Amino acid sequence: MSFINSIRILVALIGFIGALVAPAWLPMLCIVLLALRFSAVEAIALGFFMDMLWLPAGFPHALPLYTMASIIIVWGLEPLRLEFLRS
Amino acid sequence: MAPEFSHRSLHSARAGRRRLLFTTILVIVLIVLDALSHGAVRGAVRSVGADIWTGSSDLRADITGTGYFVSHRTLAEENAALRAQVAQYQEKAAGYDVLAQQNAQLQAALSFSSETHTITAPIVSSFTSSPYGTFLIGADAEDGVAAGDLVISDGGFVIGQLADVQTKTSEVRELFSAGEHVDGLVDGTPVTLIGDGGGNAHASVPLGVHVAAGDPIISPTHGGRAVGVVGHIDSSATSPDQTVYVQLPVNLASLQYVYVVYQ
Repeated sequence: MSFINSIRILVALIGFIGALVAPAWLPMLCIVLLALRFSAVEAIALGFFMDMLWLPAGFPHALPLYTMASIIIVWGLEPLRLEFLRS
Repeated sequence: MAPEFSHRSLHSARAGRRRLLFTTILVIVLIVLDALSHGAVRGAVRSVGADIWTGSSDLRADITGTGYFVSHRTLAEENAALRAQVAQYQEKAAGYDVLAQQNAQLQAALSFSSETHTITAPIVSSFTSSPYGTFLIGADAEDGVAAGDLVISDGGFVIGQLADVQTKTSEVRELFSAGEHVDGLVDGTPVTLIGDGGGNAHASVPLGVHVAAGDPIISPTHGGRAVGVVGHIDSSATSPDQTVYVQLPVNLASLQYVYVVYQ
């Protein structure tokens, strides 16, 4: 396993554990870090995991903000990743 | 010509984008399914989360107990213990005022049944991890709890309300979670408390109302129970209102059990 993949797994792991025990900004930081470098499906999964854990009942009144944010960040950074990481 | 250095070929970029698209669609479908099934997906995830939180208590204690964290841990423990002690004293002091007020209210409301049914429920999640001002308790419909039930502390202060009841766990929405509006009485004057998160709230109160630090705030919409105490007051001669900052005199992080009052 390459070094960069190990980092990817480590950051995702920190994010998932952080969703349970750490302040809410830590998983968001992990989502951003993952999305900066990878087309990270785990970033979207992490946002979804946060919302399923903590989102109050009452959707659509309570919006799944972490899922929405993670989707926007991961897809929004795709052009940047293509530009700087492909060539 | 030598090929350019590439971290990611076009092929792998396309494959990555396909995986991303699939995950995005899957997540959206799961959210819709969860909404349609009244929280079946949430219930499963929370059950696993609660099991991990409860099962890892020894591990968490071991990690904080390692030598590397010892100085931080000692200080943090001492700090937490002192905070808990101060909060306990504050809660007890405020409790006396609350009891005096409640006594007067109860005497006036003898026609109502004073019998309340409560159960004790363990807290099975972190207080700091939720971005929505929520936490989980280990009680479910089999214990007789239902959405809307009040969650109170040892001292009788309302911490929150049950927002969602799932299998094995229930979700509590903190009363003072950010942006929440709570009706309260300050010196007999009705006010709207606006939650700031972390057990804090603020309200605008007319200058003529006598209010002092430590005064309890009663909420008529929460069974006439105390929801907090006045912590600080900001007033200005140029403004007709004073801003009252209210705090819950309970150290949420040190709580292990709460009481659920059946509605």
